[in-house]
Order: sequence, then structure tokens, then C-alpha cells
Amino acid sequence: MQAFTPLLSPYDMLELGVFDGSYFEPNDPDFDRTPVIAEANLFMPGASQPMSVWLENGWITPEDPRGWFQWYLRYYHGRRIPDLDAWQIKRQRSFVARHSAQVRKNGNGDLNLRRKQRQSLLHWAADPIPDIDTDNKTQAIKDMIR
Amino acid sequence: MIVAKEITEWDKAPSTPNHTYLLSDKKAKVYAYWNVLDGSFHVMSDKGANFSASRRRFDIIERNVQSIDEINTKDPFSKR
Repeated sequence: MQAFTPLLSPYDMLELGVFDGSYFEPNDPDFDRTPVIAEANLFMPGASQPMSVWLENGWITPEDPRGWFQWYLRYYHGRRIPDLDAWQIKRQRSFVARHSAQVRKNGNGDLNLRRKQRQSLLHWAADPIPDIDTDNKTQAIKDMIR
Repeated sequence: MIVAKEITEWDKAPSTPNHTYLLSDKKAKVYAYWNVLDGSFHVMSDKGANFSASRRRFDIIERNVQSIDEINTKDPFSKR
């Protein structure tokens, strides 16, 4: 299996602002602790495609009917389904490689540029500011909400 | 094909649903499933989508299913 090195945990993602704050309720049984869920996206509202598109494209599996984030949350908690995990990791790596490169090239360190791509990278637990050099990337992102 | 009800105990992610699946005999492909959450029936692929049965447990409910059309999709829980 390819290496899977997301920058952010599912709980970090929710605290920073993903899926317009509407993806999960804090008492959802998928959580093993009470998450802090931001009500708005960090970079750009409405950055996700609707669930209908996810279904049409075969991105939803029976095991995780709410998609990649639900898979990631369960993987983060330790569940392992080898082939399914490999497929989801491959999807994440493919998306992140493509969009991270574009933001790195065209973002110019300006958070007002490439906002939808930055938000999408956040939705995949990846670095949304690959065009900004900092010693502690995770902390730099978290500082944005403080 | 077989009809298999999942009985995995998901200790690391207990909210993972245990659906009933129409699988290839070796459980490497999934053709359809009955959603345990709402009872709905979904065809995944006539040719079979990849399926990962590793680390999972199933009760085999039916064997020698020849086609998706053969099974009763409207009353999935009469046997399952």
C-alpha cells in the first residue's frame, strides 16, 4: 500500500472548517470524542460537489455511505479494510498531487487566490497552503481561525 | 454468486454498517447489496465491483445465485 501521510486529522479538519459545517453532527456515532465543528468553511463556502455527483461517479461505497471523509474518520480510528483503504488512499494521493501542485505554482502565498482548491485540499486532509513556507504547517493553518 | 450477511464486529469503528451483499463465490467482487440502514437494494455493477473481504466475517445465506435478477430484491429481508 502506498504511504498515506495526511497533514490533518479528521478532528482538525472539522475544527478548521470543512463541508460547510453540515457534514456531521457532534454526537454522530462515528466520533470517539466530541469534535469541535466550525460552522463555515475556512477558505470558501460551497466548495463541495453534491452527494448526487459523488454517487454518480462511484465515489461512495456501501461501507462508508458518506464518502471519503467518513472512510478517513474510521481509518483514523483504526479500522482496516485493505483493498478499500488502498483505493481511498490512492484517490487522496491523486487529488492532492494534482491540486497541491497547482496551488503551489499559482497561489503566490495569497490566501485570496485559489480559494476553492485550498478548501478542497482541506477536505482531503492535505496541506491547503503548499505555497507558503513555514516551520509548523499545522499550527500555521490553525492560527488562521484564531 | 453468494448472498452474504456481514457479521463483522467493527471494534475500531462500530458504526460501520453490516449490509447484506451479493458477492462472487470468493468474495472478491460485489454485484449488489441490501442496505441495512434503510432496507434499500442497490446494484453496484453487473460485472462486479472490487470488494475487500479481508478481516471481515460473513454468514452465507444463499449459494449458487446465477444472476442479480434471480434474487428477490423487493423483499430482501424475508430470508435475510
